Amino acid sequence: MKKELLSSLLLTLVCIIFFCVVYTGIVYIIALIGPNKGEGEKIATKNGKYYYANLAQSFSADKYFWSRPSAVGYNAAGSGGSNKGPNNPDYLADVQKRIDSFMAHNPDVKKSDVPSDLITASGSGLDPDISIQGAIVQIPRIAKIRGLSQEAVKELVSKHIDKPLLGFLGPEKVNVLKLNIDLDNLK
Amino acid sequence: MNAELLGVIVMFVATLLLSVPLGRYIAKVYAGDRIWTDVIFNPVEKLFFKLSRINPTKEMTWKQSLTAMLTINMIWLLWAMFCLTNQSWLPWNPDHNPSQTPDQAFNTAVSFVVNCNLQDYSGETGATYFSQVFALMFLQFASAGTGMAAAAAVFNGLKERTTDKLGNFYNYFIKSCIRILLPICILIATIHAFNGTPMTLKGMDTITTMQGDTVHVSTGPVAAFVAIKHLGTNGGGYYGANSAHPLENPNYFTNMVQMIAQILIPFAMVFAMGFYLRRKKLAWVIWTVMTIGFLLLVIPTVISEVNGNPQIAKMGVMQPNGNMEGKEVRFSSYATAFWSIATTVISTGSVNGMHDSFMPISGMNMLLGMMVNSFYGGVGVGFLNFFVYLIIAVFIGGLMVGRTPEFLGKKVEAKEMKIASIVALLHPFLILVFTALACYFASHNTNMGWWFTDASGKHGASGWLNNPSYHGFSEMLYQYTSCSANNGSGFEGLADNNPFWNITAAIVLLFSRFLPIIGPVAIAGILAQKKFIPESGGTLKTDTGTFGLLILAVKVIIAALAFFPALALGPLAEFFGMK
Amino acid sequence: MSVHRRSQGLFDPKLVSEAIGQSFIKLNPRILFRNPVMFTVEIGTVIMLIVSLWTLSGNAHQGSFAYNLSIFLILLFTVLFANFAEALAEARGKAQAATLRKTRKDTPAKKIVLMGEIFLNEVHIVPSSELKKGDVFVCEVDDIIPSDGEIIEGIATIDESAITGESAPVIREAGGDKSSVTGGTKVLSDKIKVKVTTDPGESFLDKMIALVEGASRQKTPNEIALTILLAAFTIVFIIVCITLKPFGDYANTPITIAAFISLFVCLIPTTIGGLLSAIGIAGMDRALRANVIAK
Repeated sequence: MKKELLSSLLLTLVCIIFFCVVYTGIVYIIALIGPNKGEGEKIATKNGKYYYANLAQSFSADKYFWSRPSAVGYNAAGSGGSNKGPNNPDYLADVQKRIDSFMAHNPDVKKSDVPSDLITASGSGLDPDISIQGAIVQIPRIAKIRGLSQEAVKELVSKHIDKPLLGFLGPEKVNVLKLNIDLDNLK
Repeated sequence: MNAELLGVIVMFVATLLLSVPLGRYIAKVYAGDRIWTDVIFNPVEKLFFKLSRINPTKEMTWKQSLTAMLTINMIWLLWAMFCLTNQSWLPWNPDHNPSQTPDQAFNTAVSFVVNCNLQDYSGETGATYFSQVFALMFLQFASAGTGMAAAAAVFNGLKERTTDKLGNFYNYFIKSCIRILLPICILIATIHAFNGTPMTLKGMDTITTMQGDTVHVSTGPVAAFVAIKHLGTNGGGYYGANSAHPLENPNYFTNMVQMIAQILIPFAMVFAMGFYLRRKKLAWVIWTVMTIGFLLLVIPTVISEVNGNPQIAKMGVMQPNGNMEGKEVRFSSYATAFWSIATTVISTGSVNGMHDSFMPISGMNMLLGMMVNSFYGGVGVGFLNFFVYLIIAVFIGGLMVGRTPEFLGKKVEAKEMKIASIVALLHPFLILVFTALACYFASHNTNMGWWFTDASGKHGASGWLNNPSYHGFSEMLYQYTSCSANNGSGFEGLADNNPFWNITAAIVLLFSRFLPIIGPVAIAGILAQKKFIPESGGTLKTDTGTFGLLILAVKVIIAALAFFPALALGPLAEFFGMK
Repeated sequence: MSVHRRSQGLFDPKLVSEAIGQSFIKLNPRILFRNPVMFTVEIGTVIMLIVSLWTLSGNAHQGSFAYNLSIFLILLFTVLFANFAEALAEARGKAQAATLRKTRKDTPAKKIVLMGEIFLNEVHIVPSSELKKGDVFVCEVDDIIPSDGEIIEGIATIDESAITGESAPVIREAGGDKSSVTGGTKVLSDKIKVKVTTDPGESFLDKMIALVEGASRQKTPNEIALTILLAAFTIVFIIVCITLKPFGDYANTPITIAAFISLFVCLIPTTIGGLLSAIGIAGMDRALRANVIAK
């Protein structure tokens, strides 16, 4: 038993050094060689700052494409979903509120064209993407407020559609942040 | 066929194609055969053995193996407790996170030691970089290695010979970690680092958004963590949102890699058994039984998620992507639904969508996956759980054909049945008894005092539910099922970061991890000591489809009968209430 | 041998009436305790009796009196039926044992008495039950061998189908490892001299009788293991039913005691548990009828 304890202690120590220091170090060095030096995908802005391409930002203004609702207020210091059950009355009231608000801001759209991803909170609260339909349904509002033709905005959206992996695996989507940056550049 | 469905199918097939050669490799590692990786790993291993004064050739009996396993696990638990309760002053704390309270640290440490990773804390605020790497990530390696080493000992005990030795536990443990987990982890971590997962020690970033808001971005050594989290079927996320977080799981490709990583070793362990014992047909029968069970759960789940929420359909909007609450657009409902079942039948418990917001039928299937807990199962332990059912099925089958039941040439008798029964009994016992306890408190809104305080400072037990009615019941049932299956996913709406849930969950975790390891290892040890009886015409063949069906039936009967009443009051009641 | 000249009818009136009596005697908890599954059902029955009386005395929360009473009667019938099955099997076993015993007594043995009344090696006809260890007897064509023994002289073909079920005759001869013969088998040719190797009451036939009677029947290892498994299932379902109470409270669905007990009896392996011993005895009975002895 005593010997068991000693061996276990020593083995634990060796493992901690190996798996925590050596392994982490190897991955750290590999990441340094990779893009963005292991700091996540960044998009540089004109004023010398940067955004994280993979993190949703809050877009509440009518002139921008909106991100999906967030249960954590788009603050990437934390993350999480609403964790509301599909039949929870509070949850259904929230969704109804979001639909009403969306319809108020997008009077030209039929309710049956609004996709559910725009009115339900994402899992992480930081989902950077919306569905194609989610972008299309916002085009009339954006075009109207920015004084652009609907075709021009539509073309921009179609340029930003991310194709499935290798062309045949997984869904198509639109990154809201990249779309909005280009939207600002459209003028 | 649409691209989203195809993506899911490719994930599954790719895993199968990778797992067969990996199984052969694992079998060789445990058998001590020469392999091409010897050049790199032999010196490393020698160093390990030398520094820790272990003689890897000294074989142990099953009792000695279990003593070694329990001793070293106890040391790990203490180490993790120390890190978590002192993390505020330990190095590598750029975000100035506080130390965990004792009950929270106990829960966290236990759940990482037992390969569950329940995570009542949120990664961004509840743990420092030091704790993440030196306590949690270390345990993700160590607990996975423990499970695999136990499975290796069982493999050894099932060989065609008579012995009381089951190999050297430390040897299996170190080989599992170094030769199997480590190289694959480096590969996976590299893929993630190149796809936008952070691997930095810089601390929290602050940016100004396009609309001018200032937000913080939590980063850290995520890539290294994510790799072992999935490969070891641990499932504890670096971030609170786990693999739904866009930095932890940036795109569809990383999602596929993570998915494959978590099923890979559970598949491969089954094939490794086949190669190791030279019973490939038995391995395929076992794999097929597991896969049938998996498909029975995954297909209805995908359908119910893709069809969306009828309550939202009533509001007049369209649901082209299915039920999107708690899901991410980049994965789609298909991949998220597939993941939700994969992560629950295997004991990973990582999530890429919030299970609490899934449809009732999906929730029930996740629960069933954990209640059966051996359709694939976690690394190593999945096979061990299956082994228990196998012994019961062998026994029933043996009686049916009128022969003394035997498995791989060893008689199965009363002592083995006693152990197998206790292990099979434990799972429903822990789940039902503790859920009943929580239910009792919740339905009486008992004043819990120190044990529970909700966000508004009240002590009423009903405050720990985020959802009313049947779904609230499902939350409690899910929590203990997840603990007892060492899974770690949750209906996260449950307010579980308080002494009551932390401590009761930790108790469930300890029992449900170690007894199901001790049981099968003991059975294997006892079987190994018995005389080997060569196969004859009357022997019950265990590598046939008929026997596979028998195992499936045993599992379904045990799970269905024991858990049906509970499921009827949770997800099923919710499902019928939605119509 | 004449073990089963006459196969008894399954429901021989005499046996049935004895079994019915036994099935009530077996309600004694101390006897039923050996069968954990049926024992729990009996406990449920008693609880239902109390609940029935309780509703009769005016409690309104547990459903109507008729409902509770009918559950009680169904449960009682279940236990009685299990007991009846076991008792009937036992009774049949006993009846057969009696036949076997008769066989043993009736088989004449040609005992060789060293110092006879007139000659040396005189042959006396004695009942087989009087043979002792060390006695020597002869067997000729068509004789039934009266007791277990070892051939000391001669060679013979013997029909052992009564014991082994193998219809082809076997050859037994003095010396070597094929010299032992078993009581109840029949000599087909030649003549042998056999030395008795067992005392009265210990021969193969006696063991068979004990086996069928079920008195000294040991549980086989498989039976023990099966009992463990059944007990485990029973415990699981006790847990299932007890925890259902708080679950029901949470869902505001009060569940009556009768419903709990009915659910419990449905879930536990009542059928196997109730019939297990009957199956065991019946199996032995069938094996004997097919002239196969196995343990």
